[in-house]
Amino acid sequence: MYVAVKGGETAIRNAHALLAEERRGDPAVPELTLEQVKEQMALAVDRVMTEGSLYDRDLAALAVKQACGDLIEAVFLLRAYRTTLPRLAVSEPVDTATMDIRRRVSATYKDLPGGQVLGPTFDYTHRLLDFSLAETGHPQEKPAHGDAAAIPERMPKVVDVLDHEGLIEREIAPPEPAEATDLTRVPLDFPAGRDARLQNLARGDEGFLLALAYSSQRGFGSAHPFAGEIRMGEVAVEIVPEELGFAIEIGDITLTECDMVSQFKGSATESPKFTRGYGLSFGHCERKAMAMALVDRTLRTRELGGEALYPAQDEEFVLSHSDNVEASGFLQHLKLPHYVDFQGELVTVRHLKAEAARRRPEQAEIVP
Amino acid sequence: MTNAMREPLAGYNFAYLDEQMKRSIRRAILKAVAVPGYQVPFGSREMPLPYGWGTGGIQVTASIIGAEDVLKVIDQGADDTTNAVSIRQFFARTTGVATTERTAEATIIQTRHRIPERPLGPGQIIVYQVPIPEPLRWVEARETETRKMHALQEYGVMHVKLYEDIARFGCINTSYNYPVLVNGRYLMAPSPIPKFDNPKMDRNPALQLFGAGREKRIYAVPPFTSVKSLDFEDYPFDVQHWDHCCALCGAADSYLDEVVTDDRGGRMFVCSDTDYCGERRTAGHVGAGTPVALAAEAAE
Amino acid sequence: MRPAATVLGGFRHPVHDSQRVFRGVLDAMAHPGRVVGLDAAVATAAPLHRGTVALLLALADFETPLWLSPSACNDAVLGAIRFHCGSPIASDPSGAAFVVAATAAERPRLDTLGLGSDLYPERAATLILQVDGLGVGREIALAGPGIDGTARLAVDGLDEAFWAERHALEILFPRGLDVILVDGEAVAAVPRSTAVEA
Ligand SMILES: [Zn+2]
Repeated sequence: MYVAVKGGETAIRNAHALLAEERRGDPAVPELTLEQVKEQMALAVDRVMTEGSLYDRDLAALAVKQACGDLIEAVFLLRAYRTTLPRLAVSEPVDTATMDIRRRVSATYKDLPGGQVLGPTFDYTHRLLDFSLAETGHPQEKPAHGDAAAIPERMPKVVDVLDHEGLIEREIAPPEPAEATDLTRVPLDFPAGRDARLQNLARGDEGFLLALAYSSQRGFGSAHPFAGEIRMGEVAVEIVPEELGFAIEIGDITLTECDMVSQFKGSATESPKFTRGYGLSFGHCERKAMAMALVDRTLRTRELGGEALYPAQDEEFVLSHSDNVEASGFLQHLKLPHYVDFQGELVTVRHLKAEAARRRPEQAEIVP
Repeated sequence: MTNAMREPLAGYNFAYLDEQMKRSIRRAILKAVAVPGYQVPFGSREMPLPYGWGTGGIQVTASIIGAEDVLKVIDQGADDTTNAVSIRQFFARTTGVATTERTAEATIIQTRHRIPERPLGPGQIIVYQVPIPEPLRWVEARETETRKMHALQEYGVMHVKLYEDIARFGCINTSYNYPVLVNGRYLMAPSPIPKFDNPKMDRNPALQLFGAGREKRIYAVPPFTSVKSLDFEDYPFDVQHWDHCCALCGAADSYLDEVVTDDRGGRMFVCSDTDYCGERRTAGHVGAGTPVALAAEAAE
Repeated sequence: MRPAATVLGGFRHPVHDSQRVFRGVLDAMAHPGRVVGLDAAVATAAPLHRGTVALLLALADFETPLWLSPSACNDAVLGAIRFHCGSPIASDPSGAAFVVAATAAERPRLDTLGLGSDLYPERAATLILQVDGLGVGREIALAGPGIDGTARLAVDGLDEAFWAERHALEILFPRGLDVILVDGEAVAAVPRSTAVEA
């Protein structure tokens, strides 16, 4: 006698226990601490904060540990937690010109006020596996911090240098009230404003933006970009409490900002100039900020009088598919049972097959 | 079958969502009820379950559920499929409300892919989990275009698609998520229920709510509202039929799951609605119980 | 923040009271013409009825601009709304998500309110209109989604012009206006999908 499969609850509980066991790995190996993740897997933590839309290194480190290092899963954990948080205040816009610079490079000028600051970067490392890291406790070379004092407090931005000469489009501040769109409260709508677009890209999957940006570089919607400036460091976040009426600092966050500069040949109504593409991430997510800046610019194709022919120029295509938490969930939902629908398909296909056999008895094939 | 109320999870708000989020979803639900079949955008958020796994239904249920409700959750018609278990546990933990497997006892039924066989009654609310809320998505990928098509009630492309099916296959080749017209105005995706269930939506005394979390849309069919499956005069809408009855309860009127019993074409057909099947068996109905060999498969 | 003493009380149990009031109004909206008691113990601020206060506490917040008819624009009401809902007060009813009319005489012409667009019909306003009685007074026949055949709604204190204006909006569907009539704790809804036969 057939008995329907029962015991879903037990199976789920056991799956959770098995996962916990896998997460822990060999119990003879010391367990990871959140401090270790936060300090030694800092770029993973940064990516999870950026795509998770929540600046909290401790929670992001916890998410990375809980997700066994699956960063998209960690982003999801952070986002789900974010859903439960009340909105206490909206910060003032941060001023990245006052950033406490740790890294600043420009590809467009050999030298510029404030100079180039290489900072911590993989850029000129030779990608040779460093076997000394296989051992713990190996002494590391101490960096020279001598020139830190030489970094000026306020470093002008490259785009402002171009702006001074009237060579780059002006960023026009929106008229009051300037409350930015928040996609976590209002769903995406098209055409999206630049605020919605930038928020979407900032939350978007790094790999997706990387591939799109790359496609545009290879000619699928070329934007001829220059890395005007990439800067990374700490900026102060301020809020204006209603009872005070003036701004107070509530803390510092690490940001990576990228200004891409692209030539624009001009149109019937506009003179030739440079245009901007903007990228911003929490922490040190340089690849992400650069890809975002490129895609921000390619998505302005229509606005600048061009025709959107390629994926990277297609606002609806890019913004609807950039979110890895949405994409991952929907892709993986295919694991859920679909046997009711499949049964419907079976009935239909059997019917079609019988129909086809009736019509052409000599070749009883299903029409594809 | 019914689990009593208990204390909700400490540290989280009742039903997980914060009150502001619930308010915005509640406003969207009221507008959805006022414009039957129209997809209202809402500020969907990440839930602790993945997008695609019922987050739209979960957000709708979380926004309507109260301490006195009795909740039933089904997936594929069954209360004990893993995702139904998981969602039911989520609400049991975050609200403490009573849960049930009995369709008749539930005040709210959250479902994926089925409508219970037992007719729903007035006062009940059924919440559908919806993956793709846009019925026109497979004929037009762009939201900017489909929105205009709904505004202008320009549904010709859908009729063309269905007619092409008939021309090629001799019948409409859509077995689930079969498009419907609500109150003679909006084309609506009934969610991936088998077309077998479509007639149950028509003039149903229960309130039907639909939540698509990833796509950030909510829509509704109020009680006693006309829901018509698209068809043609010469090709009227029809539902699935089986040559078999349920092997367990003998039902001839329910949607059947096909269970493979061996690798030589052996099959059993049993009710997909586990509560319906169980109720019938309790009432003394008995099925043939034996596997059947499908002629076509057995010959191969 | 204002001291609580000068502000009208909100819900005693905000989470559960909001939910109950919402389910009440959902029931009303899903069954046009059905008179539903909102069952919420809230204090009123004249001239608002208890049901109106409950609806605003349950549904209005900083995302929903609110228009109040002249007699409802008093300090007690404004203070309570600012404190409990945080809704921006609209000076022009056409820009409000919720339009509250303390009496039928104070209501704006219906076609001057936000009716949404064919592309975005959900952007239409909800009119909360206080009347002298529900279940008593002149009967109106209603038909459409949510109604099994025809429903009859008796309303006291609502003029002919209201029903004529409401009827005239029907051809605009899906644009339109969703109306919630309030009498004390009781509400009845006439969403835009309802055909009224005055
Ligand atoms: Zn059965």
